[in-house]
Parts: sequence; C-alpha cells; structure tokens
Amino acid sequence: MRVVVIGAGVIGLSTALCIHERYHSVLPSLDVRVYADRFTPFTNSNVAAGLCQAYLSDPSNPQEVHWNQQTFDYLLSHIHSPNAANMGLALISGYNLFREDFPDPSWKDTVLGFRKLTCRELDMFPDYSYGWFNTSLIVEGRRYLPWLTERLTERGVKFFQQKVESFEEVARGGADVIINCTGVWAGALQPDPLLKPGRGQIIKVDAPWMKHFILTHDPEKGIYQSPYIIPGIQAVTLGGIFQLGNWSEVNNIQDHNTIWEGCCRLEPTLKDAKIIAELTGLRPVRPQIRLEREQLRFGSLNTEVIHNYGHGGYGLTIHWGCALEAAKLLGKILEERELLRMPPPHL
Amino acid sequence: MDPVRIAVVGAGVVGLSTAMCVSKLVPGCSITVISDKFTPDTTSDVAAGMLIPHVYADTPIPKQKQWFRETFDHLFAIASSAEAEDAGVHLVSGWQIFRSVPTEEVPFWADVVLGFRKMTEAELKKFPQHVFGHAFTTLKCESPTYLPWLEKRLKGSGVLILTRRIGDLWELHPSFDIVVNCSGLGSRQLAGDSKIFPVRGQVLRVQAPWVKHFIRDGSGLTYIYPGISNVILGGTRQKGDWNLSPDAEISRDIFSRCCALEPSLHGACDIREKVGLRPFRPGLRLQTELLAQDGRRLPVVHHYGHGSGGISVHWGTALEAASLVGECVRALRTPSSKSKL
Repeated sequence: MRVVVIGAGVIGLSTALCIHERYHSVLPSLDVRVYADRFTPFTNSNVAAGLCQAYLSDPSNPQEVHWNQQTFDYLLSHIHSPNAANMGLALISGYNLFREDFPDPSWKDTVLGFRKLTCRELDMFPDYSYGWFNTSLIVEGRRYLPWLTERLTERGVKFFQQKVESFEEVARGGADVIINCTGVWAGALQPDPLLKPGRGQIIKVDAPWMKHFILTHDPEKGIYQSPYIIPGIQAVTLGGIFQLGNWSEVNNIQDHNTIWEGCCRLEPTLKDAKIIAELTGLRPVRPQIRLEREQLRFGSLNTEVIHNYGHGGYGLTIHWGCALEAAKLLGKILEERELLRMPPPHL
Repeated sequence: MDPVRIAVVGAGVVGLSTAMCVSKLVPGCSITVISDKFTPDTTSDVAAGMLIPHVYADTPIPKQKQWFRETFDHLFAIASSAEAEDAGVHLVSGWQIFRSVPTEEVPFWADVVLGFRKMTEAELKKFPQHVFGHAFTTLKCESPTYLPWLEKRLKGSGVLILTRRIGDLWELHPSFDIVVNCSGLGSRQLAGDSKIFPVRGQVLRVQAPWVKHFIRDGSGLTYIYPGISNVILGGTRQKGDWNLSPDAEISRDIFSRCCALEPSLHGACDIREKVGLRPFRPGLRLQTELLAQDGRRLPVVHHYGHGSGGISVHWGTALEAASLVGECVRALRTPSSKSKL
C-alpha cells in the first residue's frame, strides 16, 4: 500500500507523520513517501510566524473549531517535554487589540488564561480601546519542519524533490493513495476557483526584550491587514499585509513601509530594532479547508486522493487536527480495501 | 551661593538612582558618585531585576507599596518608550506558583503589577506539584544594561563619577558637605552596622530564548526569569555566607530544580554561574544621621539594606532619600549653619 504525500510544508509533513504513526504497526506494507518541489526553509510554513491563534469569527465549517482545539492540545502536551525547543514550540502570552468592544472568540477556552485587558494595559496602546490577554503557543516552521522531517526519516519515510505535474503521473508511478497537501498551488493539479493566494510580507527583527505577541484588529480592513508583532524563538516577526489574489513572492517596498510604520507606532520600542530578514509568503486562502476524499480514474487505474489544503493563515494553528482527519479518511480507505481488519462489532 | 557638595557612596542600583533623584529634585548641588565597584561588578548586576517585591519586616505595608508603585510606574514609562532597549527594561508575564495555598492569597502589590489574577486549573496543569498560583505581568530591569544607562544620564547631568575605595565616611570630609551612604553590605564597615549581613545568592545565566514567561516557586527560592540576553535560573539564600565563588554542586541543584518546573530548559546552553551577596537587614535603613567628631560635623543620609528587593523598590526609596538630602541641604543653608562655616 503506497501512500504518496504531495507537499512538504507543515500540512504535508504532519499528515505523513500522523499516518505513519497510526497505521504502520497494523499495516507493515504501508509505504509512505513525500514528493515536493519545495522543502524547508523554502515553504510558506517557514514564513509564517507560527502563533497558534484561529480566526476571530467562527469558521464556516464547524469541524475547523475542533481541529484547532485538537492541534492546540497536542502541541500543549509537548510543551512540557525537554524537546519543546527543538520542535520550535514555546508558550507565549500577549494582546489582541480592538478599536471597540468585540465578542469573545470561540477559542477562548482553548487557550490559557483568557481574559479582557484592564484599563492600565489598554493605556499602553493609545489607538485601541478594548482587548484580550491570553497565553497561547508558537510553533515555528523553521524548527518544526526539520523536526517533523527527522521523525519521518527515522521511520523510513522517503523524500523526493520533484515538481508533480499531475495526479495521474503520481498514480501511474504506483501510488494507491495520494494525499494532496500542495497548499496555495493546489490549483495546478486540479483547478479550484475557491483557492486564492493571500499574499503576506513580514519583517524579522532582533528585539529580544519583546516577550509578548501584539495583534491588532481592524474590522474594516480584515484579517492580517492590521499591524501584528509576534516574538519567535530567536527573532520577532512584524506583519500586517494580506493581499488577496496577489501571487508575487517578491518583497515590496510599500508593504515594508506599511509594516514598519504600523508596528513602530504600536510598539515604539521597536524603533531601533535591527532588521534580520524580510520574507514574502502566499497564504492558501479558501472559504473553508478542503479536507475530503476524491476517487480519480486514469484508464483502468483507480486512485484515491485525500485533499488537505486551503488552510489560509492558520495552517500551523490547525495542522494536527487536519492530519488526524486525513488519517481517519485513510483509515476508511484501508477498511474499504479490507487491508485493515477492524474488530467485529460484537466485541 | 556655592553649590552644596554631595558624595553618594556606592554605585549599584541604589547609589546611581539616588544620585539621579538628588540631581533632579535638589537644586544647587554638585554630586559625585564614589565607589570601588561599578557595573558590571556590583551586587545589582547579579540580580535578575524582576519587579516582585520583597517584604521588609520593619516598614509599614502602605509605605512598601508606595515604594514599589513609584518604582513600577517609573520603569513602566521607560519600558513603553524608545529608551526601553538602552535602559534594559521590559514587560514580562508569568506565574508565581505554590505547593500549598498561601495564607495571603492576594499580596499587597497585586494591583501595582498588571493583570493580576489567580491561575486557572488549565494553567496549573503545567505544574503538577503545585496547587495554586498567580498570573500577572510585571517588569524586568536588567542592571548590566540599566546601570550603564543611568551612569550615562548622570554624566549628562553633570554628576561626577569617581572610582575609589572608601574605608571611613570621614574621608569625605571636608571635600563634601553631605554624604549619601548607598554602600549596601559596605555599611558594616562604613556605618559600623552589624545588623547588615549577606544572604548569598547563586544564579545561572543561560541561553534559552524560547522561554518567554517567568516562573517563580512560592517562596522565591527557585525561579526562572527570562531577560533580554539570557534567562536567569536561581537560586539560593545562604545567610551569612560571604563566598563569591560559584559552587558547582549548587549550580547542578539550581539547574535541576528549574528543569523540574520548565523541562525545555534541558536544551539550554552557554550556562554561566554568578554569585551575589544580598545586603540583608531586618529593616531597610533610610534615615539621616549627623556624624560628629572632634568638632567636625558630617550629615549622612543612610540608604541601604534592601535585601532581595533592591531593584523592586529602588526608585521609591531613592525619591525618599533625595527628600532627606533636600532637608540636609536646607539645614546647611539656614543662617545658623552659615556662621559655622
């Protein structure tokens, strides 16, 4: 049983690991491979700051709330391990700021210590009059992807650097199941008008005195278009750019200025911070994540595809819940093919 | 009118901040800071500088709260400004955790720090040995950065800085009109004060930049304080121990206690050991003494004995010391004093 995962961002690697962890012992013939043209540090997962925070409004697919929770709980359970830093994991507290009262998010009980900001805290941010404080997690692609790669390599999962041109090519190459984790480029394998790039640009600075994330929200502007500051393990990410439909992967000077001015206004201490890097990434934006099976037929070849793409700006936030769901879908395929002997109902 | 000549003895956080307050609040003075040790070799430099007050037995709580509040507000303004990085002051959130519910569930300083609340059950899960905790946001004031920043500003204000070891306060007479004694443990000799004694503290400075929160174990013996360029792990409280050399066994013990609270510290690297002697006294001494000997008079404002809490209250006590200095200056300038000169 050959399973080919296309894509080596956080979605591809975590799905591959989840599948291998779950099925390898019960299905020794399971052969999992990862095909991708981009690997860490060149994936979109590497550009993301990695703060685990879902969107403020409820997702159109209620399952996404559950997947977010599962991911948070999973990562939180690893926070207590000596390996946390190697995984790119850290607890981080911080501020969500608004210009007017805003209803509590669905994830208020998922994160730790969620509360409203006090007046003295709001005094720190003169442009904002309402907000939340909570403790969440960061999972940095820069460390997490190599960690996932190591776990997969230990398990004998093989990686192939190649640009996949079609599902058919992978099917004819011997794949029984294809897991499509191609993110923003999924449209190249199968047109999807619902999938669009949400271009983001970020500046990484050296500002080790910053211990909190600060996210601002402007309902008129929409998500990620208001300044945000997210400290990572080594550097602090400054952002606030979201351009729907823009495929450019090149840094833009106007966007640089928007980010810099917005973040320095929010946090004056950044004024003299040294810039370490500037990066652009394309969020794979979709009204909801495409996480479902599809049967494709190429002549006499029947191939199962599990799509797992379209995670917008919250891929790291939701990745493990989606990986578990993809593994569940694979389980159904294995049952249907009578490869997995499930216990009879009466036991 | 000639300026009143003031000598501030001691260049730790107490000496430098007192010199600063005097220069701002007491007109008509010339100030010289005199010390044998300057940053990075003072006791303050070893302290993590977390603004969490130590309780002074002899001082009424409202006064201690005032000192803490004045210090917090002063540093908070710096932390929010463009000076923050140069001054080494920043906000940090975290937890103070207890193995049993403390008798005082809400400390006197709870409304001075930001966002103070009890920890939730979910938050306490991170610490299986602990049953109760506080979560709040406070400030960290790192002396190795803060003291040089203060020194620079003092020099900019015309304060002189002199490296010299003083063996006796009378050495400062007649060059100086008033002495401010901020010599910490040095007061054993300089003020003949046997009530002040060292409480030895050993700490580790490590690289663990993923640690973004402070963790302090109830009594304050074990702590993890993340700063700008390192994380400080502590500690010890060894009464009457003057030994400034780090002890390897103690370092292992500190590391082990801290890893128990924060397992990710196993990945910490570049571990360095430091020792400081906290200037412990049953009560903080903040009072004027008029020294007299062989017809000579020397007003001394004593400002020492901050124990574990120096950085937490330094600005508040410095303001009070400056006010005492102001009284001495006024006393010197009244006509009856002039006739003696």
